[in-house]
Amino acid sequence: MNDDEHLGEAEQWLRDRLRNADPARRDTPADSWLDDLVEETMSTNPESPGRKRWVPLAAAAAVFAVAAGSAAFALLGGDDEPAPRALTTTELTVAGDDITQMCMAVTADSIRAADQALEGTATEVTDGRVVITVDNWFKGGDTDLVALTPADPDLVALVGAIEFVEGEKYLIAAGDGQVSSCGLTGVYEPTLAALYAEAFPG
Amino acid sequence: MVSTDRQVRFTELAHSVGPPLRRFVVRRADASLVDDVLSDTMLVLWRRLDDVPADEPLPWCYGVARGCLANAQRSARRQKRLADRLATVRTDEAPDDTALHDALEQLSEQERELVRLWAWEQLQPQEIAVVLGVTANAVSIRLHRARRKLADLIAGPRKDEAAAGQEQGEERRPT
Repeated sequence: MNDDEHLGEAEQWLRDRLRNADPARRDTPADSWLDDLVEETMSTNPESPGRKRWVPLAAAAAVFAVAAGSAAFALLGGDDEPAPRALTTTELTVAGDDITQMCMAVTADSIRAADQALEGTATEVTDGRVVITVDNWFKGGDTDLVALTPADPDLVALVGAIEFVEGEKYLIAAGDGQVSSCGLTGVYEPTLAALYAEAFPG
Repeated sequence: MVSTDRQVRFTELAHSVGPPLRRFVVRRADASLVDDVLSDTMLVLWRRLDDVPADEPLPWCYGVARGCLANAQRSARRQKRLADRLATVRTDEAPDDTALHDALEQLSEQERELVRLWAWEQLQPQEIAVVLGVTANAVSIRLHRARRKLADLIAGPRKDEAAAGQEQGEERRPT
């Protein structure tokens, strides 16, 4: 990987100067950083890394419950942080049809196939509405905020397994204006984040 | 615990590409993002172990790290601007070579990445092509231009400063 011998004087000068300014020269990680990282990585997926994440039905129902608001929301603390003003917003609904469906495995391909995908932080949680401050649009949008509302108010009764909590980070996929369930959407965690990173490598 | 064959392969890969991947990330990310980006990168490699090229895996792994880094940086920038809940993306640490860093800032992101991959990762054009997903020929042409532009940018201010009678601190570029 070294072509120094083929460089002209000017190129060699430039490369030397860049190397002298290499930020990695100041990096002094702990001796065990790589072993720790390898161990952490493999413990995150203790079985075959190729295995599919099977999403329990409860997770599918959870999204509905979250957008439906009321009792499912964990209302944290009277935070006085103002809602962002003059920001653009994408409205998404949380679909309510066929919640008894069996979910397919979550893969990078299934995430990539979504019309919209983003990661963001729940910054406003009120009854029947969650506002997500978008940290990053992977696909299909460029607004600052995403508002989640239930497609069917009757779905309030569906109590799910997750809550949208102010300050928590989420990964969200959507199609046809509806949040995708079945594990494509969920609380930010390394395994799901890695699938999103794999789906949208840059 | 008995390691599986897959675990052994991953461990070998991680020890092979881990140090250069860390340097790759450190060179491009704020310190607060380095661990997260490395963790995301390793997770992708672990999951896609069968896709990692057996021959010359490093450029391919750089490509994975580059994607994870882009995601993390977009996320950090957006979150800082809107929610002000994350640490700043830019480091406050003063660069060693201000003139060089100023010149790098004036390159496009594509040019900057070409120069970094060439000088810091010490990749050949065909390897840079794997990282960036473009042809080696395109890399050669763009890299040549980027190097020339960078050298001119470094030299340019010195001429202005010389005309203004200011002190010159940096070594001169060969012509």
